[in-house]
Amino acid sequence: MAGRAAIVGVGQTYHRSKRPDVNQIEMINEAVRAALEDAQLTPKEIDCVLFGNMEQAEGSYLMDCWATEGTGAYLKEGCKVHTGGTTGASVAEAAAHHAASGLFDTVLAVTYEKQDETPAGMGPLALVQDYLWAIHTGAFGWFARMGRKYMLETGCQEEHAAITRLKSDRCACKNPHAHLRLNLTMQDVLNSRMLLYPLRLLYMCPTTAGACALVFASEERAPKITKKPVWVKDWETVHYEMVGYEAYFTSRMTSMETAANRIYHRNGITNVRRDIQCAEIYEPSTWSELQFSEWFHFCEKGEAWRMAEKGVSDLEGEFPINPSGGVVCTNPIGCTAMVRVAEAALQIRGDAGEHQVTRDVKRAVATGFGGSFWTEMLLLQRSWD
Amino acid sequence: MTEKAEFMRLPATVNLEYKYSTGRYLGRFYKELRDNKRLVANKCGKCGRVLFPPRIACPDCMVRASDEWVEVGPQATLIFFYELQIPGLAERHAANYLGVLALDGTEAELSCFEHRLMVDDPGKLREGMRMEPVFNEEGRTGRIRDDILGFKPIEG
Amino acid sequence: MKREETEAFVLAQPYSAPYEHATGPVGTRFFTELRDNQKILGMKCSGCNIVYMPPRSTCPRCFAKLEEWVELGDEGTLLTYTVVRYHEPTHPTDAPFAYGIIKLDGADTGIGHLLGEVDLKNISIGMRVKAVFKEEREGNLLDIKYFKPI
Ligand SMILES: [Zn+2]
Ligand SMILES: [Zn+2]
Repeated sequence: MAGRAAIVGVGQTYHRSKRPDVNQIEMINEAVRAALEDAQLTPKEIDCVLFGNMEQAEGSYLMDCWATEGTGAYLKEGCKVHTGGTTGASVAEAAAHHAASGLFDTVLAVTYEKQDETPAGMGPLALVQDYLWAIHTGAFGWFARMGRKYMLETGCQEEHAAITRLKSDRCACKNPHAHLRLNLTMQDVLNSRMLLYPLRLLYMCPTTAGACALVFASEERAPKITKKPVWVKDWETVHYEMVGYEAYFTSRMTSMETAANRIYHRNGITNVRRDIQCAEIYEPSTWSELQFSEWFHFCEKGEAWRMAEKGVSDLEGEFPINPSGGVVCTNPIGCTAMVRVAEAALQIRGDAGEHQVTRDVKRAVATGFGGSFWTEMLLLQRSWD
Repeated sequence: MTEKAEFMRLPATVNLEYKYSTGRYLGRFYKELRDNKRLVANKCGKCGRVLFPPRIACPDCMVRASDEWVEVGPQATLIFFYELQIPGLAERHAANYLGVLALDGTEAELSCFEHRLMVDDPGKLREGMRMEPVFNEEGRTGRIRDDILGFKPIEG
Repeated sequence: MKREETEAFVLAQPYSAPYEHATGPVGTRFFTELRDNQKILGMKCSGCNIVYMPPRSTCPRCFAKLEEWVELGDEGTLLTYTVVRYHEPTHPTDAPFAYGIIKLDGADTGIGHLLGEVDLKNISIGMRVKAVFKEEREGNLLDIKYFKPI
């Protein structure tokens, strides 16, 4: 990459199950205003607007066109990026590309999902599958299998998933933007409804309405906009072969390991928990937080549940994972991966408020996860070097 | 305050009839299934990987797959199973149990798939158990989820 | 390989999804006035001096928050039109029918709607039209049955 790009503005809505008080465009507008205010920029100072959501989720197509009054894209350049669950990270990566390219000084990246307008049971998302093939229970089946496999291979017991879920809840309770803030007890978690063994309702991400916006700026412009630019040092997108159920197996390299290996190698990261201080990962279920942590090399194979047990991944821990509460607490799908980037940026700035981690975060990773097991990973830093 | 009284919502039901082409590789698979109750896969000419479901290119070698066809299954190993406890799911799939199955002769990790489990006693379901398909004997149309009714344990 | 062996299938995949869209505070007021009082409201941006119809909560051009409601008449001018002569299940009525873009008096933006009580051979751009409301109104744009020539 010839140029450099930094995040100079972060904004998101308060995430909720339902937002009957606003339409989609008005909800998007809330996040955009918040990001512009954070960057202290006017819409006039934005050169380009990139946009994304989970196409079909709300039955409103071409929302980049309809939502210009929400995004402020009127007469500006930009386009829509749509990659399913990873959309939020894809839009962020695209915005970093645009800002680093030298073509635009400032790029606004906007994503949203308003799942209270989606038919119950995520009807349209039932089509998110290899459309020619067989029978699917979709995400529930995947994460149940992942949990089962993880237990069998590592000796993890259900209580470790519960410990991890309680950690997410404690973090979410400190994050005013989070959706599920439940003050859970161990009993609440272990008594929550079993969907597909060993996946309980509380181990699964909710359906959320919310929006997020980020302002990216070029190397030259970023320091003029803010004293605390968050540099987008590197990013990686890895796709996977869909058909099989890799969630159940690990003999092949997953998209997550591949992305992490490339990012760590390119950036001289040899001791992940030392060289990176915080992670905001897209964990669609509590079981995937454990499994993904190993694939991202946050710990040795088979050790993630011990890490949770020891409180390593807590907000005050040695390596905080999802101090925002993560995806099991907040999941406006097409926007979810951007919330990871936004929260990681806030941790680096030291602006996360009550859910600011104890450790000084100079460097953080944010990830997206989607559809056929693909991964996006961004490396964010307080200073470029 | 109730949401409905305060803010208006507009219903907008979308009804669409998509039509998906299988292409020649999956097409052959479905034709063999429909006409001969045979499950077939094609192979990569370079690395020899059995591609199931059949497809045009080998994802490992990125080369066009060969027209060398092999029969796989019909016996399979049960890799994972679960009860459909989520409301509506059992009705949608016309089964109380679904399983992830790997057909004999295929690479389980990359070729296993979900299907209905037909069992009298679910308590006997075990991961790793051997199963075989129950074919639809009347009016197969060329679709794995309809032409195979489900998988049942191999007796004995 | 013989042709019949490579025959591709076409698989039908029906898709039905009952979406429900929130109209938000501005949309709610607009549709409620339309339904209950047969009134058509627009929204003005004083900065840009534009009256938007349908109304919106943010000015797309200057990004200002909008709160200045304007009551528009039920008469307006036809900006452009076409006559539909083929049938589609998504059409609001059977072909042939005419629809056009109508700019209501007092508004600066036009809205697409049906033309009714009209000779399809005798429609002209610039003609004056008037909204005809439905008897049974539900709170959507088709509470206006159509616009008819004055
Ligand atoms: Zn090969
Ligand atoms: Zn204006």
